[in-house]
Parts: sequence; C-alpha cells; structure tokens
Amino acid sequence: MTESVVHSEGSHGPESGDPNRRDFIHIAAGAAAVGAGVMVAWPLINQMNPAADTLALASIEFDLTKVQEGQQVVIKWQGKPVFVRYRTPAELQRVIADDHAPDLKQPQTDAERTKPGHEPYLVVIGSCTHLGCVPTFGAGDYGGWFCPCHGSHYDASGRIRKGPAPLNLVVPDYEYLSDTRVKIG
Amino acid sequence: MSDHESTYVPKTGVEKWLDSRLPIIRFGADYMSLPTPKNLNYWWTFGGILALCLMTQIVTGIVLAMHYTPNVDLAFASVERIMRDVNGGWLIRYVHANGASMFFIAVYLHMLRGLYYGSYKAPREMIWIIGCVIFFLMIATAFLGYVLPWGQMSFWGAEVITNLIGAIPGIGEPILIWLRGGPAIDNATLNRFFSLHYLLPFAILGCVVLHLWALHHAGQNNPVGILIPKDRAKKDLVPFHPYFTVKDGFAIILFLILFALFVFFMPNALGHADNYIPANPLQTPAHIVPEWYMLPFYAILRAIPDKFGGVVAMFSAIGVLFVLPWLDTSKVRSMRYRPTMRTFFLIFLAVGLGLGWCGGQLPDAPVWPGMPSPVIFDGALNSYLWLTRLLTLYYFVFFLVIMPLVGLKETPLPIPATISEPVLPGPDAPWAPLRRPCRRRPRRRAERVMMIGKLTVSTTKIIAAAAVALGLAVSAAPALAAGGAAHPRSGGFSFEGPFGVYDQGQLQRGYKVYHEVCAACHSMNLMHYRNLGDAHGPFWNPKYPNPNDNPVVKALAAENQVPDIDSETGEAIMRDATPADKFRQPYPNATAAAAGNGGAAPPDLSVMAKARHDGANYIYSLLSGYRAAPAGLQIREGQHYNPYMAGDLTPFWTGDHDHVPEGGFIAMPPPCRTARSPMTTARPRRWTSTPRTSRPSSPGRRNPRWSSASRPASA
Ligand code: FES
Repeated sequence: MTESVVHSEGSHGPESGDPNRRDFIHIAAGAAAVGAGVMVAWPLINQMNPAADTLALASIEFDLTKVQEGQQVVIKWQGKPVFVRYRTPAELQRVIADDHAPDLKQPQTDAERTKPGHEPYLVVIGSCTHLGCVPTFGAGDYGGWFCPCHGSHYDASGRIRKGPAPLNLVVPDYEYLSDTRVKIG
Repeated sequence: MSDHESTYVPKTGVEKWLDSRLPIIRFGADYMSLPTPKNLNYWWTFGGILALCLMTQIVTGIVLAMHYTPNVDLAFASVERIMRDVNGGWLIRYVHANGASMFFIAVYLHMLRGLYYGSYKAPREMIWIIGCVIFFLMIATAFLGYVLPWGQMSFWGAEVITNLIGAIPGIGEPILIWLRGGPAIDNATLNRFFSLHYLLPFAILGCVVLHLWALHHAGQNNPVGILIPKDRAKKDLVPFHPYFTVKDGFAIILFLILFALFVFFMPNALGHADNYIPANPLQTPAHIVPEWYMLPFYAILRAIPDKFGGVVAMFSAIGVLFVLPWLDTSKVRSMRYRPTMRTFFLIFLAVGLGLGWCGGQLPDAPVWPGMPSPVIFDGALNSYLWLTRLLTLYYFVFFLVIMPLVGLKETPLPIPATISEPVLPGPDAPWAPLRRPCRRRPRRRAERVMMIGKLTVSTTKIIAAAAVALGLAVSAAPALAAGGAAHPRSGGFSFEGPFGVYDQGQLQRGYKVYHEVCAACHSMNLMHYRNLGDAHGPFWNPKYPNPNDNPVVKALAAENQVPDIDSETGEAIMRDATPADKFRQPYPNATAAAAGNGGAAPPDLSVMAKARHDGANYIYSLLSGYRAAPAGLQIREGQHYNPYMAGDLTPFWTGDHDHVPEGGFIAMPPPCRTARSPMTTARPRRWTSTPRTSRPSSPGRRNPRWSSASRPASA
C-alpha cells in the first residue's frame, strides 16, 4: 500500500499535492456519477416493464362443457390464446403410447401435463415455443398441432415432436373449481 | 482530398459577418467543391439516392404521425382513415410504405458497391462500420414501422421478432416482457414501437452525418480502387459540384421513376395482403413472411434447427459485415483486378438473392416438385430447408473463409498507377510511360467511365444495375398465394391495369348486392354512406362536390337505421342514418357476429380486395366457385366446398339467406349460378378498398350512363 503511494506520487509530479487524496476524489466522484446515472436510468428503463393494469388481467374461468369431444376451444388469457382440448379416447391412447418415444425433445408423460381424473382435457398456451405463432389444430404429423410459421409438429399432448420449436406447449397454472369449471392463472 | 483548401470567398457584407461568426456557408461551399475522383460510375450515385430516401421517409413519416393513432383498437382504422379521408393521405402513406422498400433497394446496392470495389478497406473502415450501424438501424426502424398499421402481418411479425430476443438463454424471458411491456404483444408494445419508430430515423440521420464526416476525411474510393497520389490530384479529381451533383441528379430521376411506378401503379405489390386484415392475437396467418428486404436474414434464421442457434446465425449474418475490413486480407480494393474474388462475389450475389427467395417459401416445400430425394437429418434434401442451409453455408464461408484465403493466395491483375490509365490508353497519353502492362484490353470498352468533357456512360452497367434492381424487386414478391387454394380466375374487370376505370353502373349494382345480401352478415366498418358519393364512387355526382349534400346518398343512408343516444333522455335509440354515418353493422359486436355464424365472425369487407392476394379476382372466383365437393372430402355441417378458399372449405353460406335480389345473384350455393353477379360484387369491394388511388378513373365524365344511373339502386 505504502509503496504504491510512493509510486503514484512520483508519477504525478511535484505540484499534484497529495495524490492519494486526489485519486480518491476522482474515484469517489466517478462512482457517484455512475451511481447517479444508474439511478436516473432505472426509472426510465423500468417504465417499460408491464404496468399495473396489464398485470391485473391475471386469471379467467372457463366452462369445460363448451368443448366437444375431439375439438378444442381457444380462449384469450393475458393476451395469448389458450387451447382447451377435449381429446378422444383414440388420441389419448396415442399420446400415452408415445410417452417414452425417443423423439421427444422435452420428455414428459401425458399424465404430467394434465390433472388426475381429467385426462381427456388438455389445457395449454396456444403459442408455439419457437417464435410464438398459434399452431393449427389437428394438423401435422402427430395429430396434435402444426405451427405454420416454421413447421413445428406437436402431438395431441402438446409435446414438440418435430421442427424448430425447443419446448412442449406450455401448460399454464390452472385448477379445477368443479368437474366442469377450470380457473386459468 | 479531405483537407482541401477552402475556396469560398464571402462576397456580401452579411456573408462576411456570418463567416467570421458561424462559417456555415463556407461549410456548405467546401462540401460542394469537394475534390472527387472523376471516374466514379453510376454505382456511386446510391449515396445521394439514400439521402433522398431518408429525407422522404422522415418528412412523410412526420406528417403521417399527425394522423395516426397508436392504439390497438384504433390503429388499423386510423391508417385506413389516412387512406380515405385525409387529403392526399393515400399518396403520403403509399410513398412512406414503398419508400421503405426503395430505401432498402438502394442500400443493398450501395453496400454491394462497397463490397465489390473494396470501399471498406483502409483507410475507410470507419465509413463502412458506421454504414453497417445505419443498416442495422434501418432494419430496426422498418420492423417497428411495419408493426404500426396493426394488421395481421404487423402483429405476427412483432410476435416472431420479439420472440427472437426471448431465445437468449436465461435473461431472454425478462427482457422479452420488458420489451413488450406485458406477457404478450399488446397496446403497450404498439405505443412504444410508435415512439421508437419516430426516434430511430433521427439516430440514422446522426449516423449519416458521421458516415459523411468519415467519408470526407478518408476520401472517396473509386472504381479503380487506388488512392489518388497527391501529385495527380489536379488531374484526377474534380469538384463535387457540378460534376457529381448532375450525375447524382440524373440517377435520382431514374430512381424516382421506379419509385413512382410502385407508388402509383402497384402500391401494394411489395406488401402482404394479410396486413389488410386487422391484427388477431388468436390466429396466425397461414404463411407468415417478413418484408422482402428481411427475407435473406429470415431464411438464415430458419435454416438452423435450434432456436437460439438460429437467432445467433441471423444476427451473425449482419454482425460479420462489421468485421469485414479485417476479414479481407487483400490489399487490392477493386475486384476489377481480383478475377478470382470477383467470381466468388458473383456467386455471393446469387446466393443472397437465393436466400431471399427461400425466405419467402415454406421450409418443407420441395424446390423441384415431384422429384424424390433422400431425407437427411430432419428434412428432405429436395426442400427449401436444405437449399437454405446450403446457401447459408456459402454466405458465411464467403466472409469467413473465402475472403481471408483468396486474399492471401490470389494473384491480382496489374493495377493501374492512376485512375485515368485504364481509359486513356495509347502511347500519346502524357502518362504513357507510367503504364504497366495490362492484359485485360477487351474489358476496356465495357469499363468506360464517365470522362469529364467526354461523357461516355457505360450502358452495360446501367443494364446491370437495372437487372439487379429488378432482381431485388422480383425477389420481393415471394409466393403470396394462399396455400393450397386454386389460383383465382380473372374477372376481366374494367379497372384492371394502369389505365383501368371503375364502371359506375357496376359499382351501383355492387352496392345494391352488398346492401341487400352481404350486409346481412358482413360489416363494412371503414365505409361511411358519404363515401358512396365520393369522386368516382358509385353515386358520384359532380354537382355535389361534398357528398354529404348528394340527395341520392342521403336517401340511401336514410334506408338504414343506426344506433345512437337520444341527446335529451340519454337513452339508446335507433335513428335514420345520415351520409356522415358509418355503414350499418349487422351485429352489435364481434362476439355476437361469431356466435351467430358458428364461431367464425364473417370478415369485414371494407378492404377485402386488398386483404386477399389478387383481391378482386379472388372475390370473383370465390363467389362463383362453390361446387360439389370432390369425393372423399369430409364436410361438416354448414360448410361448403370452394376450391378458391384456402383450406377448401368455407362456412360462407350458412343457408338461411334465400333472398335473391332483383337482377340475379347467388342462389343457394353450391354451386353459384351466374357468373355475372359475383363480378358485380367484386367490383365495389375493390372500389371500397382503394377508393382514391391515382387511377385516372373518371367514369362520371367518361361514361354517359352514370347520370341516368345515379338513382338509388333499390328504387
Ligand atoms: S413459431 Fe412455430 S415453428 Fe416457428
């Protein structure tokens, strides 16, 4: 420590006074300026985060009797589509058979993606995990969905099977209020 | 040439006074007299053209912002209001929208010029790098601007592009939410995009100032690519004005002709029909593609099977340009003297266009239909996916491998000592002793540059420039046809082609059909009754320049009841419509419309002819295209087969309309009985979509029929 002081004294020349104190002032002033800069910048950056009214649109309820077997209903939740799909026994059989298929990019069993006792109903966010397009119902090689944007194929459990999407269709937080009513969010 | 002596002499007292305080006139004068290599060819005119493009975009953008509303519920309608009601708004908007494409055509040519003639090499690296920053800002600005009309492509483009940022592992998701201002693209996103779209052009302007500063410091490159020796400055350099102001001016005129062709005759050719469908967060268009100028990068994005990898590749494709000055190991600037590199450059050009083409195709579609090919990894070899991958590979190999290697290995052709040498051969040229042997005599004629006092313009180059511009424009029109649907039949409409006119009699019959049939289900939210009496509209009468006074229009409006609030009691009432009212809506809101039609709301028809590829013909084909379904096709209740509809099935006719208007129209489909009537409806749909374009249409004056025909159609 002492040594470094001696060195810097030499480098500052005779009239520079106490270099130790001057360095300190430079560093302190610099740090204060950076701190102030951050404090000014933060509100300017943070204002772009979701506003209170946007966050308020938290949950919705849905009546499952509106979905017919083999069909899906698309509802809007937080500005995004949510697919509620009532799967036929054949579809269900097929996805369960595929539970351990080698081509699953994100291995999950169908049971992990539904609620016990309500297996035919699948609730997923209808937004392709690639770049967010809405996949088309019933299309694709696996009988689930097909994303028209860059060709991702999902099975009827919403699992990604082929194409650029990295993840399965996201299952949102939801719960059964009764046998026919779910609350999403 | 940067530090040339100022030759400005202030003449008047005011100039002298100003010159000693703020030498701004001197600055301008020095700028204009800047010594410039006299051999600059037409590829050098794009700088001036780009300056013009930037100013055009800024000026038209500022005035458009005076009328545009950045709100998810109002944005689409406010843009259409600009098209219909704002004085000259259609012109300003079309100039702005097509101006973006023109800007990119010019910037790509400008960049290719820099690439070919080595304008990025020492001492001009900073010019190039700032140029790359400008290019990047242009892409960002264009993307933000494309979101503003809030059509389907706007929305889904925004969704896909912002999701690219979400692909960054770990921090992607919070940044994404921060950027969008919510979990999904919504009003917050639109508002900030508008703000940034207004801001960034001024950032571009700032960079342009730096670009020019660096340019004037380092001096212009030239087609020969040599630095001009000090002692030849007098011979080889000429003042920028008048020599290059005139040359640039001529190029600008040619460019403006191309610009005007698009604005006035095919204003929507470079856009997507889907963007005339209002944004719907619950439905993605069948085929989403970015604007043509982003297609090559979009193709690179899709070529990589991994999400984050694709994003990295796409940004690297632009990022690699920044380090170009250090990737090129050759000391020779101009590719004229680097035949090997020129070959690779030409391949690169083709690859760039190829990537643009691939970006507009479905990745799984075969390149050569019907040719069987092995499946490699995750796709058939004969698919756009694999073609894109090969082209992407070349794109990067060109910059990262070919550029450094060829520079080290090649033997360049002898380089002239002066820029005059290649054009003034012969022993009697004063500098003949300076000449080194040149083997490339046959090229000379094609390479003639503009000589001062002896103007010889290389025609081959103009042709080449035109071909490249055309190529860019053509690659701008990717496969837009709806997937799988039959190509629309031509309706043979009177308004087709550059000199087409609307036939007023047909417009009137069209309104009648809309009013009596279509209006039962379909709204026309952007139309007001007064529009019926607009210039060259169905009930236009020159006696009433203000259509609100037109008695025919008044009578037509009064046939309809519209909801209102009683001004005294405040109760909801129905009253007769006036010309100032919007067309009556068949349903109180979108949910009611969907509920009444098996879940799918009948689309609004105001801009239908622009919202479908080959609009009028599409409508004509669709309306006359109902027929028995081919065997084996499953048809659900309420659906009908129509080969022209994407997906082949349409819930168009649900069977509860059996009213046939006088004059004949569609009975119950399928099939549609008469071909004449659908044409009648296709016409006004097209007219409502583009009520005021530059069409020289004046049926009122040309067609003597209109005066006798201008009576309420239902009379
Ligand atoms: S967004 Fe679905 S595949 Fe790209």
